[in-house]
Amino acid sequence: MATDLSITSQTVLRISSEGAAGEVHLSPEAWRVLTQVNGSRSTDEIATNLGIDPASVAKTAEELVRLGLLAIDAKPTTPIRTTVDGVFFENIEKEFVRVVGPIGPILIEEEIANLDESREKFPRDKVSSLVERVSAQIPDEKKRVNFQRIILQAIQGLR
Amino acid sequence: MADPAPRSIRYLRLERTGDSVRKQLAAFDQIRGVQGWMIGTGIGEVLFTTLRSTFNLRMLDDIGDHVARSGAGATNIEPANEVEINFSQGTVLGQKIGRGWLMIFCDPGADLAMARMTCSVAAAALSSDRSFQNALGSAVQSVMPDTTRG
Repeated sequence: MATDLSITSQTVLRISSEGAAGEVHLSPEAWRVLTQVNGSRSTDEIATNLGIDPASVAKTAEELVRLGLLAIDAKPTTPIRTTVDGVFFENIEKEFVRVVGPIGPILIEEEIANLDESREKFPRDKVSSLVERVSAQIPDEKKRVNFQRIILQAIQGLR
Repeated sequence: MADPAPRSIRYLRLERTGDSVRKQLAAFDQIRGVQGWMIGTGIGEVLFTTLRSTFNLRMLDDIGDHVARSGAGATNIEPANEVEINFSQGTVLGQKIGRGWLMIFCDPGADLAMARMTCSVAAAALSSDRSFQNALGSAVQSVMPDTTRG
């Protein structure tokens, strides 16, 4: 679906630096949409987060753009990989083995299987669940949090 | 009954803390479905919030403390250091950070695993950061001068 301003489900919006020309009154839905705009979420993601219809979000976003509150991100969108590569698993494995020992790779494989996935085609949107499950196997809280800290940095590198 | 919280609460002077503290907290901005976070005393006083909403923030801050206490009462163990409360309209995560609580507000469909881990990592970092704990102590003192609660 596209609106007059070409706002599609993949359009990324940001808060306009110019601002509105005058006094603005917002509907509750417009306010909710506005609170979700962070310069990286698509309108589709905003709709999912708010649990409302994507078309409704696009329409509201269009109005907010017209009011001067939002701007359409002009940056070209690069295709997003939907799976993670082997390098990511190597990093997890290396850090996990450092904490739990040589049983680490087996535990990771178990958790991948528990998520009904395979290492070769592991979806990116399940990475955080996998890391949380794997790290839950580390009984020492300090070591667990440190492992999470390292892997969270690796996850951020995926984006 | 306390008055509704003002829309912007800044008792906690984060500018007096190090870059690493602000970096830890900024990480929540990147998580899908995280609406915002706040730092409170856990007994009804909000010290800092990024939320741009009309929630009764003090009530939400109370929730963490009540859940932590009721859990401890039921199990006869030490009060909890972390809470997760699921509502039909979202989830609130909370972790104790010294004299305060870090609370994360998530929409339905949020990446909760990421939010939980980021919360744990941030809570550990904030709990051990001297500049943050000094700022937190001052903020607690400014809103609750008579408190001795640790």
